[in-house]
Amino acid sequence: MVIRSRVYKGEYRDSIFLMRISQQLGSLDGVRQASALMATDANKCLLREAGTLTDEVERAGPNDLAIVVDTVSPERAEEVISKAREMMVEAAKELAEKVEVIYRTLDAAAEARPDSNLVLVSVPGAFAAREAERALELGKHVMIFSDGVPLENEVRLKRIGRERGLLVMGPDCGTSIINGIGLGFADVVNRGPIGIVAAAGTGAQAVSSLISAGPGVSHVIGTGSRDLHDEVGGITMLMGIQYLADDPGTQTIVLISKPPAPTVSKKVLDAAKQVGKPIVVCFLGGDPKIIEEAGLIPATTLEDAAVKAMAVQRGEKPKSMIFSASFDEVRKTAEEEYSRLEPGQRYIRGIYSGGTFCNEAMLIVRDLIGDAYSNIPLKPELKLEDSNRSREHTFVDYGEDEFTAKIGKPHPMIYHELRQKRMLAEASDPETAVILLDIVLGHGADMDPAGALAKTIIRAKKIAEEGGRYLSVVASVCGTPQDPQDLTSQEEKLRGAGAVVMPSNAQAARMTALIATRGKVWERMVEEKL
Amino acid sequence: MREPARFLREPKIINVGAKHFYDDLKSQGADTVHVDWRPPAGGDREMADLLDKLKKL
Repeated sequence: MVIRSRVYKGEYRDSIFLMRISQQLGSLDGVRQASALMATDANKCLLREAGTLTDEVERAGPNDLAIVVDTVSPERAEEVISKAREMMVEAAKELAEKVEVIYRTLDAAAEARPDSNLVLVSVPGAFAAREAERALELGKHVMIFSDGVPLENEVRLKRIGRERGLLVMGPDCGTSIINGIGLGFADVVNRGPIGIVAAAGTGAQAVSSLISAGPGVSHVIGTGSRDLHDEVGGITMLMGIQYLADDPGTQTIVLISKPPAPTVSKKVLDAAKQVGKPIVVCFLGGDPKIIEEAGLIPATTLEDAAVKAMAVQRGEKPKSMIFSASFDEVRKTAEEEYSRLEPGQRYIRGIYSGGTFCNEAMLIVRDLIGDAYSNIPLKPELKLEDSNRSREHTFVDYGEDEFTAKIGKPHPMIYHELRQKRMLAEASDPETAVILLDIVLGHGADMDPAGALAKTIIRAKKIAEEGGRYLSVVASVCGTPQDPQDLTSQEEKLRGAGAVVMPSNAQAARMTALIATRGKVWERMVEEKL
Repeated sequence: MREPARFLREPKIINVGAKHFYDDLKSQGADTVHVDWRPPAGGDREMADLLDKLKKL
C-alpha cells in the first residue's frame, strides 16, 4: 500500500463536508483508507496512530486542509488526490453560485439580518462557545450542534442565556424542529399539537417520527446530552418546558432523557407539574414511580412515550403497547425465524448507529432475558473488554467516540463500513441467533442506508448458510415517509434482503428476545407488558 | 400564559459552520443566511480569545 498526502494551506472546510469527502474517497476502487481533514493536533494524532501521518501533514497547522490516502499504487494515489481537489473546487463553485450572500462572520450576518432570531452553530468544538456567546450577546437564541465544548462553557452559556431569556440548545444538540423547520439531524414530520423537549437526538427523532404518523409535532427542542447533569441543572429543559407551556400550538408535551441527576429530576418534574398541559415523561431506564407521583404520565420506551402522548392528545386513556401488529401475527413471524435456528445459536447481537436506541434495546432485553454486554453497558461490569468482540448477548453502539473521533471515521448514520464488517463477523459466529439493527433517516443521514445494509444482510445470511445455519436479522427504521430517503422504500429494501422489519426499535428488541429464547419470553412479555 | 416566543412562530436562522445544514434549511423553505465560517486568528484559539478581549476594550 502507498500513503500519499497533499496539504492546502489556509483552506478551511467544515467537518461534515470533510467527512463526506472522506467517505466518497474511501469508497473508490484501489483505496484502502482516505481522510480529508484539518491538520489540527488531534487529527494529526489520529493519523499517527493509524500510521498514515506524513512529514508534510506533520508540518501543517490547524488552519491547513490535508488529504491523506492509502492506495494500491502511487498513480492511484495521485488520481484520488486529484479527485478530492475536484470535489472541493466543485463545492466552492456551488457555494458561490447558489448562496445569495455569503457572510464571513456572525456579526456581519446579524447586521445584515437584524430580525434573525436563532443561530445554528456547527463550527469545531474549540470555537463553538465563542460563536454561541456572540449570538447571545446579539440577543439571539442558539442551537449548538458541535460537540467537544467543555462542560464549564456549557454552564456559562446557559446561565447567560437564562438571564437574557434566550434558549441555548446544546452543545451536542443533534436535533431540533422549530415550527416545522428541522435543524441538524431531523426527520420531516407532519405538523400538529404535540411538543417535545429532548436531551437525546435520536430519541427526539424516534418520538417525533412516530407522532408524525398521528396528531403531528409542534416543536422539538433539543437540550444537548449534558443538560440534565447536576452541573448544568436542566436549564434548557426547564426553559423548553416553559416555551412549550406558553405556545398556543402545543397541547401535549413529551420529555425525553436518560434518568437525570436526582436534584435535576425533581426540578424538572416540579416545573412540568405547573404547566397545566398533559406531559408524558420518558426517563429511559429510570423509575416511573417518581413521574407518576408528580401527576405526570411515565413512559418506559421512546415508542411508549409517542403512543401515550398521542392517546392523551386524542382524549383517550394512555395505554402501553407491546406490538402494533396482532399477537398471532407477531408469534408467527418469530416462530418462522427461530424454528430454523440450530440449538447452539443463542445470542442477540445488536449493531447500532444510535446510542439511545442501543440503550433502549438493552433495557428491554435485560427485563426479558437478562444482562447484555456492551461498549455502553447498563452496569460497569457488563462493559466489553474489546468492543470488537462479542460475548453472549452483545450490543455495540458504533456512534461512540472509539469508532468515530478516535479512529477518524464518520458517524455510522452516514458511514456503514464498520457496522457492515461487524454484521459479517457476527454471521460467522455459530452462537449468533439474531442480528439487531437500527437505521436512522432524515436530514443529515445517508441517502440510502437500507440499500447499503441490505447488501450486507444478504451476504451475512449466506455466510451463515455456508456454515449450515440460518441467520435471523431484525431491524427497525426511524423516519417518516416524507423524509428524503422515504421510510416505506427503505423498509422494503430491508425486507427484500430477508430482514424482519419492525415498526420501532422497542418492538425490534422484543422480537429478537422472542427469537433468541424460542418464544419462551412470550408470556412474561404479554402479562407484564415488558 | 406569556406571549409565545417569536423564534418558535417565525424562526429566522443564521447558519454558522456546516454548509450542509444551510442547504437542508433552504430545502425546507426556511428563512436563513449562511456564514462561511473560518477559524479566527488562523485557528489559534488563545490568540482569538485575546483579540476578542481587545475588541471589548
